[in-house]
Amino acid sequence: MQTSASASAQLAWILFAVFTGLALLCALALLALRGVRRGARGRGDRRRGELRADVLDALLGGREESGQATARLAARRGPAWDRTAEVLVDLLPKVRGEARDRALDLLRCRGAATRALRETRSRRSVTRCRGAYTLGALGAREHAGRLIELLADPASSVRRVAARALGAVGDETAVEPLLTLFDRDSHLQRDLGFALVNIGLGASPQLRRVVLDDVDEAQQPDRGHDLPTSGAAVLAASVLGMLGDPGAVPALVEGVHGGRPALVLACVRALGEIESPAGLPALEAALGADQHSTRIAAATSIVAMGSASAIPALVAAVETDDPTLSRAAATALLRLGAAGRDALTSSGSRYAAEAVALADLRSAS
Amino acid sequence: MALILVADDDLDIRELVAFRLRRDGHEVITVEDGVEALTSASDRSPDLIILDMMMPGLSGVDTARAVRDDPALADVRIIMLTARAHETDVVNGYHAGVDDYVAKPFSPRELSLRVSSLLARKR
Repeated sequence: MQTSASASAQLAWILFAVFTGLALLCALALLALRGVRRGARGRGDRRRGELRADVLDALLGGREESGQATARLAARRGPAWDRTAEVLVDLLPKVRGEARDRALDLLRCRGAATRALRETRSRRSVTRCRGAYTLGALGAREHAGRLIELLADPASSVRRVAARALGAVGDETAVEPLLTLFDRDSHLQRDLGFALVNIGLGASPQLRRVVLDDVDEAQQPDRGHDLPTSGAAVLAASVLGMLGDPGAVPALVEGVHGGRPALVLACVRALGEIESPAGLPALEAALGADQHSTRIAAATSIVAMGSASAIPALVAAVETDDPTLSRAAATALLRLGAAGRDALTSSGSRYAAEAVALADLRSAS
Repeated sequence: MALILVADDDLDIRELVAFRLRRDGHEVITVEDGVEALTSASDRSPDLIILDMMMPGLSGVDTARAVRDDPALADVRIIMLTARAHETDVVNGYHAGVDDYVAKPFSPRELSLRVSSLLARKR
């Protein structure tokens, strides 16, 4: 019995020693690993610091510093160049002028556009996104065709990035494909709107055509007005407002007079953003629209234009039975200054009296 | 040469602006948000503050307003960096006491000239 007891004790000690040894080894290994990682992080931070310093010198330095830094950056190869290109591409949308030109020159001389184009053909959607993004950041108009093809990519993320990239490139041939994409991908409305606005006034003729085509369809004798408005037409009208193109006013006025309700509302808002006096008669007419939201939008748009000639129409709106419209029109009249206030004071509507009283309270406080 | 405070939540913008202005010979402090900007401004009394309009927490306009409310910072010039060029935003900024606007994407050279011009003017 004593022999078996001492054998058990020995075994226990041996096991204890083994586990303690293993625990110590693990602790040492963890410490060593932490040391290696810290060293790697330190080297990484130094490399990143050197890279950032060279990039800043290349983009913002004097001629000599910039030339030397650019040469150092251009000499990078493999992963080092990949990191450099990533930093430069990230900076492109943030700067303009000489700094941006220098970044573009460096990227283009190292074939960044060609590489990005290749990436757009990758099997991985993340890589296709990166390629599309880079083409947009580079303003690679010569590859707008490929970006348009990517609007039909199976991955929604790629379609979104391609749409924005087309806006960055600014090629007008993308307008129709972007509007067409809206019918398939209405959840990309914001991205498509962003892209179209970025393309700029060059997009306006096609946008106007889309609005007018929708008006023509609405005028079809065979229930044209019962069909829903094209989402693309509504988007086009909204973008025309954001572009502030006075040349779009006639098309938008057509939209107000002859469009289906959703298009009428979009055109009314757009006319308010453009603030052209030529749009005022259509806005005054829209104060009597069937849709409540359109009547409110018309009153708001008239305020934005600040035109005293709208006073009679606004007074008529104040004297309707629609409380929301009456109040909106009363607010609009007050914002038109003394003439608007006088017209309001002369009105027998209780909403007119309410608006005047509130205005007096505010100015007294 | 002046002490300039730069507040922007974008590291790239802070580095670009700071590099350019240091190259011009100014001393530059950079911070990430409006609250830090107010703290630094109170501590260091910069000659000029460059604010991003859209920052988390305290916006550029609110930060400008707070700076103007501090009598100790009455002479500080303020430039707003903004990607938003809507008339309302610009008007709000001027009402808050902003002296000048620079649109994003920005030209570092143009910003440098605006800084020099503003510093040369008395408030």
